[in-house]
Amino acid sequence: MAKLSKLVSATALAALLVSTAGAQSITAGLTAAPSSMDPHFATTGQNQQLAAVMYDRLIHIADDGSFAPGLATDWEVSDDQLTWTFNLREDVTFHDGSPFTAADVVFTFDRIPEVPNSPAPFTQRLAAIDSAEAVDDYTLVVTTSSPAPGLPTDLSTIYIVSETVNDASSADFDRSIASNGTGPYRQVSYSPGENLVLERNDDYWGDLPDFEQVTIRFLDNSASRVASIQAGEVDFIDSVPPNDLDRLRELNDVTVVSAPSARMLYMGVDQLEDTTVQIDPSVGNPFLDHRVREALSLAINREALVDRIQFGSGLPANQFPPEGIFGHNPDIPEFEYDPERARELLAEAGYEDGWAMAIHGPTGRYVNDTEVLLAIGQMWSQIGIDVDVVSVPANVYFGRATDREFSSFMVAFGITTGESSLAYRNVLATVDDDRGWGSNNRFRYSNEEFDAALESAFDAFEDADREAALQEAARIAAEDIALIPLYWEGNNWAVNGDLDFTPSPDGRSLVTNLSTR
Amino acid sequence: MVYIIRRLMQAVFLALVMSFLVFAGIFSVGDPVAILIDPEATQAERVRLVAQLGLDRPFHEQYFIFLGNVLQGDFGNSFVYNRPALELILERMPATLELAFASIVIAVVLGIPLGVYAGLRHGSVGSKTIMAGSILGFSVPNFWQAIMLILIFAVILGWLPVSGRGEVGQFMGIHSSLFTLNGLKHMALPAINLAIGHLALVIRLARSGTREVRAQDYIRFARAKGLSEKRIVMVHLLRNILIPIVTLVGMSFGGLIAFAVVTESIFAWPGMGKLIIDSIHLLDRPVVVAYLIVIVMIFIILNLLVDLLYSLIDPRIRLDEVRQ
Repeated sequence: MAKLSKLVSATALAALLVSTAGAQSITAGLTAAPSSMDPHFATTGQNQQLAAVMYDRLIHIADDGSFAPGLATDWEVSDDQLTWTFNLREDVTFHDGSPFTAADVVFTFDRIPEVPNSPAPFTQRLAAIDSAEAVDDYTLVVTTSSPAPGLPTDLSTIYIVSETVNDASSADFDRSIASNGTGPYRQVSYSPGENLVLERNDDYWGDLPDFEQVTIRFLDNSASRVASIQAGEVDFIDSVPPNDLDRLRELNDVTVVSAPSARMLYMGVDQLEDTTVQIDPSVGNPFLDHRVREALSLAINREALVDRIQFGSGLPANQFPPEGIFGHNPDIPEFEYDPERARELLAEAGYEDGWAMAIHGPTGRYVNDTEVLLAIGQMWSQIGIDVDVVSVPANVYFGRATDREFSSFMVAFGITTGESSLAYRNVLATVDDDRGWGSNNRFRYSNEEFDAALESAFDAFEDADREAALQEAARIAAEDIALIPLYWEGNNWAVNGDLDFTPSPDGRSLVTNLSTR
Repeated sequence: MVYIIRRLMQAVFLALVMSFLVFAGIFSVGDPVAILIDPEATQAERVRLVAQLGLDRPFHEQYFIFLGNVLQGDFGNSFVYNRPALELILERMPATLELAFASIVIAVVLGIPLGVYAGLRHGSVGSKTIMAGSILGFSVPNFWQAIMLILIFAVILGWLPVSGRGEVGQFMGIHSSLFTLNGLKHMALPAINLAIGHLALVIRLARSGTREVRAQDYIRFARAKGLSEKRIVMVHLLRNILIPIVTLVGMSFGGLIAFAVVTESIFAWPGMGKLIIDSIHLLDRPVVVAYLIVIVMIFIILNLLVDLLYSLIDPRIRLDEVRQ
């Protein structure tokens, strides 16, 4: 009997040891697997949210959206605004123990254009740079051919790798042999589509994360992701389906964390010519009339979309940047819901009998996207338009949208850089291939006044000027009803009751934002 | 031997036709760059990417370049991962193979005895229960079974893990999660999920075969000779009901390898099925084409094996006859 009790207490002790070790290592279940572990392969969110915990940038973004020192402690620009001097942080080491110096930054800048076949390259973010020179180990001088006020923003997305990476290929990062950064975690192993194992970098220069080891598993099926956290198999999941939010909130050992994202869904309406592809030519193109666009906007009950279809996850939108993102204009009023007024406006514009058209949206790309499009179809039917709702598989949808096969279609754009200029440049600026504007302007909105405001935002050196210009652009777009904003998607995470998760403004699922309670 | 070579030649021809169909199909579906590219990219970056991937060339040129490369053993790089397509597929093949193997074993080891029992004891309560269960087995949708299995065994009872592949062990140079307890635990639910439908079919085939065979003269003769029931069932009956079952198992195995998509994605099993479905979503043509070529080869080899097995089980069948 004595033996048995000894055995029991030994087992209990072992269990205790296991559970303390458990607190040191956690498992996260993330929806989206990266396309590569090479931090310079693609700018996509799923790649960056992993790169960001292993690699530092020269400049980091603080939680309030402002710049914070990263591997550069401070920086200044010359009077002619063409030469930037960065003072680099001393005593920082890479994961392999080698010291971080300015040469590594120069190496990183040189490596980025050499990464082949990237579907979403970083090159544009270095386009302003003319030359970069390591003056000494801790001083970096960057020159630009024309003033580039956006440089700090661009550099806040460039992950610095060690010179020892040499000519390693993207595949070498997948095999964990090239991975060498300065971030709070270092890469131990990676199995594509399965998991990524990270270990804490105890020599990290900044705040040390709470966990010695993090295993990230890629769980793209939402049902099994939710089941995994319910069963306690993972400690953290992202992209909780809105339909499951209430059920998870009722559980004692799971906490749900929600935050609005900077990803806005909108309806684009074709504004190029007198006719548009999905509407009979005898009707013409009603979307050219401001009153029609206003009517379409007034017909949409945004509260209902968020409350009924997204189970309360999200916020009705009136401009690209939500509050807290640089360039948000607080003076723009909420877009109202008033179907009566919408019908009057259509009558004034000469469309009292409406017209027939198909509206398009993707399936499976955004949360409950088909349901949202169906609801919009119904809301527009209520003001007298004969709407045919067409949902297209995402892999076909975006190609067709870019080929301008749709007259009225649903798309989202997510702001990932903490400020609104790229959303405006790509979605709302007049299409201009030479300077790379309007690459996502599939509905061909064009307003010189808007372009001028955006241009002055890109040229402004002072934050206040930039903000004013971006707010002006937001005002013009809202007054024009350049597109019909719907809502900002909500982000939802679930964490094990012993942990805390602090969402960052970019909405990424950063494992460094997990902490013990 | 001539027979085998001829079959392999057919395989090559089939793969060629199939590669053309898939290539043309994906080409007409849409533009991979439209999905892959960063929404923040400029037009110049888009044009450069299209050229890098060779997508700016006309269709026939793209196809012939592809064929030329395949002849040199190069199936092209994945648009998404920028790694050789074949490498991506082969890297995930073991996980799929072991899952398919485990579920076929479950289907056969449980299915044949249950089916034979149901056939021998036709009309008994046990037989009726087995048959009712088998109807349920293949009429309940696969994904629903999967979620129920997770809910019951992982969430409520907590006996088995929800998803993922467990520890991988090594035995005689083969790496597989079949060789560790942790690996087996992870495999249990997805393997059962995949097996249920096939189990139901094996039961039905074994039962109808048994009912047919037990009325045959040679079984009666064996009984009259006074052979034990055990010997009659194990030797005379079993061997004679096996042919349709072998066909079914052979074809099911191919199906399990190629189309375990639903199970693999719900259980986050890092196999080929998950890769292919992601690749289709992203129009990653090199991976889809390479995958289907690999699958065509697997099916043809399995067909061949099934034919060879026929002649082993039933000496009356010779390969020339199978060919007819």
